[in-house]
Amino acid sequence: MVLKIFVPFLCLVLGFLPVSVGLANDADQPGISFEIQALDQLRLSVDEVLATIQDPKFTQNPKEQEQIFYARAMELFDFKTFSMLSLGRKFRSFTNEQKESFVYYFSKLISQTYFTQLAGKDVQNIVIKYMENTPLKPKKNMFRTDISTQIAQGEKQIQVTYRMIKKKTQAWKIYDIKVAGVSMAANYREQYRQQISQTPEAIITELREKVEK
Amino acid sequence: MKKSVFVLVCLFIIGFSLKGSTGLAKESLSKITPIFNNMPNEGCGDSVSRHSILLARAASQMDTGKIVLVIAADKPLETDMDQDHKVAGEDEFEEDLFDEYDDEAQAVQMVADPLYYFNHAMYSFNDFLYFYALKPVAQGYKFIVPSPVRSGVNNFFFNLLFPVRFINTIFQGKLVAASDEMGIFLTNSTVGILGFNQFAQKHLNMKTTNEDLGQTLGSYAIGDGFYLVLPILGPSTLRDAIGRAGDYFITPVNYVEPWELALGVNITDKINRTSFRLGDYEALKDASLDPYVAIKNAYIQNRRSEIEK
Repeated sequence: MVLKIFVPFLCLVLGFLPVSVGLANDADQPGISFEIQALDQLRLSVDEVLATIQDPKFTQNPKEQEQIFYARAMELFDFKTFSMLSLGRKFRSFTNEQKESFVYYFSKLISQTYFTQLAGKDVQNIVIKYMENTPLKPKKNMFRTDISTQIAQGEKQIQVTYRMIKKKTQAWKIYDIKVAGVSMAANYREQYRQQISQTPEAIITELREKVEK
Repeated sequence: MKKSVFVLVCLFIIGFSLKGSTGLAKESLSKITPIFNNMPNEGCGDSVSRHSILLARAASQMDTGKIVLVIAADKPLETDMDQDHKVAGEDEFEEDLFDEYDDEAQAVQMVADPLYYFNHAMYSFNDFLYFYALKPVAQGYKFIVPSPVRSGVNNFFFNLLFPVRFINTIFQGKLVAASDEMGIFLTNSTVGILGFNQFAQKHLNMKTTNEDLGQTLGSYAIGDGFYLVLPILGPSTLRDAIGRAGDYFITPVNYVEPWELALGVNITDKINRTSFRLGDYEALKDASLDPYVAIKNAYIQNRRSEIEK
């Protein structure tokens, strides 16, 4: 008799268990649907960039190719946040104009670095595996996520994590790249931290010369 | 008794159908939100037309039975539009990000550099060595030796370092990884012909991890000590240099007699490795404002992430 009473109760609990587990997972990762979208966007953009590099239309004309590459990078990256984190707290002492020109030259530098890495290489051999999508704790007005990938070219393999941010209604954009565990933004920040005495003007000039070299 | 069986079945059905629907909702939401968020802002700025596009797109993706889900997908739309009006202060946003990164940065800065002048001299020496000896030789080597052979040599040397990986995975208590290493070593040494072919990784889908004594010590919460640039070997820290010295004794190549042969083997390994990484060092140098600091920071960040693994 006692058993009979408990059987439905047990069934109820067991039957609903998957539901509550499902809900608990939801609570752990708020806004998960946003982060899935970050992955879609990244995949699409990376494919586009690789297509630009491969396109025979452009390989004849590296200047034009680099311009198109830069335009793509502008869409894909949040260079303002990237620059901010690369410069560290010094960024706040810049005037708006100085901020703008720093962001401009910094975006050029990053784009150039990537372009020279990719251009002339056999891009077809590159295999990108998207491994994990780890959302960071969302903050007011922004969502962030780390998308880790494994990039293989022949025998060479490297782990690259794209840190992506979504501010307000904007699309997902990359604001930092970790190559083999090395965050680019943190790396630049350390370099700028060591140059204590530099004025904003000097910092911008240094960067400009680096880009225009 | 029949009744209770009936109740039992009913409850199970209810439970699982609910589970199914939440799963479906999640899946469909993930399908819709990209569509909606990727929509260009111009042209359909007003919420009504955005909404109708969303509905149309959603309908095309799903059958009508799940119309409830469209309503669910509508929610992020509204919150998104709300945020348009609440433009948060950029300052607050900056502050948030900086706070987070400061913590990370502090940890990396902690590695002191008391031997700065020695290190810098060694850095310059290694830099010179790279551009005037290692790079030209590796370039020539790469030109002469076809890629499959270089890969084979790379695999061979990697296989030889098995004792280092094996012992350090055990020291770190990663017993599963250790048994994997053993399996990979045995497979590659036999089927892979002395390790030239990475049969286990390619066909058995097994994975190796790079482990060394420096990482083992790091995993015991032993700090870096201080930064150290070693001649030829490059950036290191006190802890990692000690680790290297320890690993030296379990690296089979170092027991090759006579010592000239061991040296020759090590040099071949170095050149072969470099032939795969030509251009990487240049890229890092080109992208940085202060290569010495950039390399130091990159080394420490990389080691931290390796130890965490």
